[in-house]
Amino acid sequence: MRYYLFIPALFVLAVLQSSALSWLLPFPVRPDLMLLAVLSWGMIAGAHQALLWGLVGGLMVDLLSGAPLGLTIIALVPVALTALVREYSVLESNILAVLLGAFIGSVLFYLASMIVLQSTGTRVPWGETFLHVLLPAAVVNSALVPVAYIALRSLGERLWPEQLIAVRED
Amino acid sequence: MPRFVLPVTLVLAVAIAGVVLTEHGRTEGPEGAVLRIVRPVQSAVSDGATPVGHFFRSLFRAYSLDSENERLEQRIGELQSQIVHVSEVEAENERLRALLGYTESNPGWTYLPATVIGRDPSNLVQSISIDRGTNDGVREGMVVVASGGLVGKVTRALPTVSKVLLITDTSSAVNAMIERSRAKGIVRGGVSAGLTMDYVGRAQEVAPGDIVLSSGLGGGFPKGILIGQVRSSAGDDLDMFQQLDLESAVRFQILEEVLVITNFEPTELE
Repeated sequence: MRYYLFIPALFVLAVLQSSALSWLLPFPVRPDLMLLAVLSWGMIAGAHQALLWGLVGGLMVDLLSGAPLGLTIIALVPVALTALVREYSVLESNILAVLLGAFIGSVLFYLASMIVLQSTGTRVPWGETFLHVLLPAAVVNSALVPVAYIALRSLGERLWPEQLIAVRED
Repeated sequence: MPRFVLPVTLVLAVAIAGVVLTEHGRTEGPEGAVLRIVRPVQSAVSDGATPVGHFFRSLFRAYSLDSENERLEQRIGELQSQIVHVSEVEAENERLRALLGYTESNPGWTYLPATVIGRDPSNLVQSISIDRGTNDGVREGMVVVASGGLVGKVTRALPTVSKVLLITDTSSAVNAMIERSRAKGIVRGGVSAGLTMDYVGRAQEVAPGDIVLSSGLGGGFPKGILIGQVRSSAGDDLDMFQQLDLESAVRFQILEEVLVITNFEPTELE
C-alpha cells in the first residue's frame, strides 16, 4: 500500500511544476521536475519502475498542460528507458551515468514532445526550439539531477525499500 | 521600672526640645552641619547602591521582561505579516484598478474577471490556467485580455477552470495591424516568449515604437485590442515582406489577473 504513495507525490510535483515553479523561476526555460523524478527513479529502481512513474506523472502533467493529452506520457517513455544506461552498467561511475542520463533523457524528451506537437498540427520552429529550449533545458536538468537523485534515493530507502532490494537482486 | 525613667525622660526631653526648636526655626544650624557631613557619604552610598539596586530590580523583573519580550516579538511578527498583507493588497488593488481602467476605456465588451492559477508545466507550450470555467459562462474560443492588452484565447473550458493559449505560443496567430499606417500582418509567438509580426508588405511604412493592434480580420479576435509595439524590423530589401520584432504590451511572466471577453463570438473560417 505504501508503494502507491508515489502517486500523490507525483501529483504534488506536477502541481509544483505548473504553479510555484513558474512564479519562483519566471524564465523562459524551467527545470522539468517530472522528468527529473522519472529519470532519477529509473536510475535507482530500474526502467520498469520508471515507465510506471512516467505513465502516472506524464498523465498528471498533461492534465495541467495546454498541450495534447498524452504528449508528456509519450515523451517520458524514452526518459524512463534512459535508465538502461545504469542497468546495463554502461558507465562505471554512478554520478556520471546519472548526469549523462539526464542530458540524453532531456534531449529525447524534447525531441519526442516536438514530434508529437508537430504531428498534432502545432507549428514547431525546430532550429529555434532546439537552441532556445531543448539545449538550455537539458543543461538545467543535468545540473539539477544529482539533487533529485540523492533526494529520491534517500526517500526510496525509507518508503520503498522492497523495490530497491528487488532491483539489486535482479 | 525606676531604671527606665531617666533614659525615657531624657529621650522624650530631647525629642520635645527638637520639636520645639524646629517649630521656632532653631535647628537649621546643627541640621545643616550634620547634613554637610552626611551628604557626601549618603551620595557615595547612594551612587554605589543604585546599580546594585537596579541589578536586583532586574533580577526581580527578569521573568516579567522575558515574557514581555516574547509578547513583543510575537507582536513584531504580527505587524510584519500585516505589512506584507497590506503591501500585497495594495499591489492587488493597483492591478485591479488597471483592469478597471481597461474595461472603462474599452466599454464595448462584457468582461469576466479571472485569476491566473497556473502556468503550463511544459517549456514548449505557452498557456495559463484561470479560475473560471463553463460554470461562469466561459466558452472555448473566448478572447482573454489584461490591463496591458491581448493575452490569448480560451482553448479548453472545464466547469471551474479554463486553459488559455497565450499569443506568445508558437502555434498562436493573430491578425494584426499597425495603428499609424494600418499595415496588416500576422502576429505570432516565438520560442523565447517573444512576438513577431509577419507578412507586413515591404512598401509599408513602419517605425520602431509603432503601436500594433488586432485587426479583427478572420474573426478570431475583436478589432482594436492592443498587442504591443514595434521594436525593430528585419528582412532584406528584396524580400516581399518585412518581419517585425514586437515588444508585448502584456508582461506575461507576472500576469496575475485577466479579463475574459464573454460577448465576442469568434468566427472560425474554414
